Amino acid sequence: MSISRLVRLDPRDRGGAAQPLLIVEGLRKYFPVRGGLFYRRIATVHAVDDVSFTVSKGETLGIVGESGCGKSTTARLLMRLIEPDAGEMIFDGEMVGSRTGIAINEMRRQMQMVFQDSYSSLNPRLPIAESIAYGPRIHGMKRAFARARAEALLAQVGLDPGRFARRYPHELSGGQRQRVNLARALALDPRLVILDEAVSALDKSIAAQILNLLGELKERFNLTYLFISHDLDVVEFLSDRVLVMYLGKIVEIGPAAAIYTHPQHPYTRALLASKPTLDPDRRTTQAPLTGDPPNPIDPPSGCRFRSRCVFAAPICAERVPHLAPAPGGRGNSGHLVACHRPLARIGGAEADV
Amino acid sequence: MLDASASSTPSAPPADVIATRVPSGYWRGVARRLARDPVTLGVSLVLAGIVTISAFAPVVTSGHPYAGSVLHRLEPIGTPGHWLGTDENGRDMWTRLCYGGRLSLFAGVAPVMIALFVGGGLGLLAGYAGGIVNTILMRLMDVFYAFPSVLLAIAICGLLGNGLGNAVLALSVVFVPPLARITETVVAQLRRRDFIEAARASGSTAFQVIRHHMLINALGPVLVYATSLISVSIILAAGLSFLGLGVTPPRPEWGVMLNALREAIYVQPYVAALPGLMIFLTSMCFNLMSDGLRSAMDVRLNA
Amino acid sequence: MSDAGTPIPAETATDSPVLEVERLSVRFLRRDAEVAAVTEVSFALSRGETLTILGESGSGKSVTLKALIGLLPPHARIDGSVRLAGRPILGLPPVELARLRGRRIAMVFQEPMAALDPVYTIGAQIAETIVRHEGTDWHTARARARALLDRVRIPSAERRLASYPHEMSGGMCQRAMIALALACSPDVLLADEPTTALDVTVQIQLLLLLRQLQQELGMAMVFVTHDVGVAAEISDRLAVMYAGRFIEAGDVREIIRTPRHPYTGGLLAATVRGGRRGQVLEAIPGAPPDLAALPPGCAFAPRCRFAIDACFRAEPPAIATPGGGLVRCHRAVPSS
Repeated sequence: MSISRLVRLDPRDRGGAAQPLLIVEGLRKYFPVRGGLFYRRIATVHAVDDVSFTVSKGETLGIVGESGCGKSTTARLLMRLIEPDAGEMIFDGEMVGSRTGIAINEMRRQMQMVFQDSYSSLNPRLPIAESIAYGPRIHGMKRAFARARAEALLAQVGLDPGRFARRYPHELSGGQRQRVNLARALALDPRLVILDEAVSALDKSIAAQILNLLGELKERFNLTYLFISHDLDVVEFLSDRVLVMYLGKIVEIGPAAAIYTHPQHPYTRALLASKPTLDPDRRTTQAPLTGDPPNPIDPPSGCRFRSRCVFAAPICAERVPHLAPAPGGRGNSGHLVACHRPLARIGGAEADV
Repeated sequence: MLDASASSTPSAPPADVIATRVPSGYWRGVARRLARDPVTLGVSLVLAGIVTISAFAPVVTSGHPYAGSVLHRLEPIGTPGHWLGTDENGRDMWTRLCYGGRLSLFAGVAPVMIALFVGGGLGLLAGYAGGIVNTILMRLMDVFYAFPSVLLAIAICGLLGNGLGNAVLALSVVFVPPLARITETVVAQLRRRDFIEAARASGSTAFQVIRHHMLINALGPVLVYATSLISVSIILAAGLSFLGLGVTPPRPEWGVMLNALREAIYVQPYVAALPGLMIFLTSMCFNLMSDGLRSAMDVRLNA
Repeated sequence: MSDAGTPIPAETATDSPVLEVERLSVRFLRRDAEVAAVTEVSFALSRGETLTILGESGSGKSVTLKALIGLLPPHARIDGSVRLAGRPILGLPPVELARLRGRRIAMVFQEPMAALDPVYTIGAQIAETIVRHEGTDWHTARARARALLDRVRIPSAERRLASYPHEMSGGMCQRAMIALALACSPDVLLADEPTTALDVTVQIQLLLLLRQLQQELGMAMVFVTHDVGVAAEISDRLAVMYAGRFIEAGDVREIIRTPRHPYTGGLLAATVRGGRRGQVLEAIPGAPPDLAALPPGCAFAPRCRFAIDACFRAEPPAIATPGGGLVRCHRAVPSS
């Protein structure tokens, strides 16, 4: 993949401009469903299954998917809030958690997360400046310095420290709280920020403000973003590359423009076609996908999407499709799809959505 | 159609719609709501009065709690010199009620305090650790919970013997399981909240998370419950004394007095009922205060 | 995937509107303040028509719906008039209201699993409604419930009659709730953000279902949402709500193509769609006002970049727009 951007290197950089900031390899997490008399495992939720991807320095990678696809679990696995069953993470060229690589605690200083629920992400009993200063303080910064840093960050996210530093979360609106959450995430001076449905709970007009702010902060602090959302439009707006998940697996990954105009996986195409129209004269007449997203408990064999796929063939039930370069388009574009019968090859109605 | 001029500041800082309100802490809000609640204010005053009078018993009473006179047994209310009458040994009721308040209040509050530390600590550990630790601790609590509190208190007192100290110990044991259980519930719920996850994501140790985030959030509901237990404790302590366990005569304590005056109820019903009235009043006040505290704290904090 | 748009034929709409709302206002009396949640909302709806109320949180859209069906808490003060097929329903005693609900006017809510009773099967809940309103016997009611589940496209309807809400997915629960609402073929269906909590692939299925059912049954529908796309898919008429008022109303095509109120314009601009990566969004600055302390004049003026003096002093009048709509703005140009 060629680097089409000028990458500004962070002082803590170890691997150089071409080294991806984060490499995830074979991430897996299964949750047992326990029941019965002795709390035995009666089924398994395949929340995240063999997920691998990279994040380049300075880019925004979007992750889309519906409920049950595993995107939020992936975020928590990356932050090590949940321990993965298998898989490796390499941060700026160093293996995470190994003796010779980077320690988890050190990685947590360079990687932070913003959650969806702006209210429950903040301690309701602490003034917001304290919440922001908490991270630096437990890493050794003196209270006064941490306080000053918190107030500086409040200004950066558009909240006047004089008026807001001593307020409590319940006195702020949803949009203001999300700004505080951003400031809190930036307090430890991270290089990578994971945004887990960060604007989903906000009104559209407030979300637009926050999206603009995200752009500004990325420029100012030389950040890399991992943006997780179910909102296809927002992901398209913000991301350089997009990753589509279904039932714990990646089904398609590639540059945002390619994914949104020439999706190769039938699920991606159906997902994009399910967006409500903005033109009342061109209304949707047929639902692209019927039924509900299935349960990640004991998924079907082979391709997990085959039970809802109109193009399914016998091979889809036999073999698990792996990510391979998408047919058509430029060879080195980085557009990968996990499908035995990608749309370009079967020549089916190639939707330009 | 209006045409759009150049766009305004992209991420324009939002207008502060709450500019006029003074920033308030959670506890200040609670205090404000409590101050506006007439019932809670009323009972708090009554309670404060009872506590003060008991604490300063030597000052407000002129008599002696043990000085009795066979000549003046069971005098009615309003007797000159003994405005609340005398008990079956001729001792001044007012004096004995005041001194008795000390022991009754102590026997009511101390066990809850002890149980708050022990039970609260266990619940905190169980709630935060989860998993096998939680299971072991909570099932252990369940064993004690299976006994009715009165019987458990009696059994322990019977084992340890009489005396105020043993009564307090017995009651503490009785109150540890419910406090542990409620603390565990509250902590387990808090544990799942995003801000705890965010704190862990910043690299805090468990101790730091508990100290900075858990305690101040868990304290509220647990405190409300503990306050309601005080009213139960007063009654149980009095009950233990009534049964001859716990405080023994001639020490003044409302439960002991109630027992001693039991037969006098045909002779001087009002005097005989006085200790019971005090138990009821104090317990009720703690109960109402706990209710008021719960309402004051139970405010939707989502703006 | 998209069609040229079939407008609902005027012939199916009867002459007299089935739902008439005139100057509906709702105030909540709190200890220290009075919250003007809804102020002077008026509209009329004919059979087969869908009105979408578009607004963000705090705009009063849900309160409006609840006022129509009488689900507001007792400390709400309601003024104005609401007529269902000519009959005023605002002041009705609870018994009368209960007879209307489900029979003539029904509601579908946002959280499907929260709105269904968790201790009864959905078959029992639907059948109970039918029995209570139409007095049929249980057997008939159950058969009709089954037919309804088929109609809302729940697979294996016979088995689903015996399912509990927690055994079904969000999308299926929502379908069950629609079936429950339609059990007695009401004249008016109120929908309070029924698809907001659903995935996008399920949402489009449900929107199509609602459109189809509405055409089949000839119902009028009042749909509340914050999503412009959903409004475009489902409505004939659109009303944009801000701080308790309809600040713009009219034909949905008209409004989306040529919004006249700055808030509507801002809302449409803030809807991120297609190929605007890397650009700065036109965001509306500020936040919605506190409904307990509304400023004099236009409620949107503090955030409006076109505001002039008059906007801060006086409430904007309702100016008619071509196509039978209205806009409340001092700076909108009146149509000739």
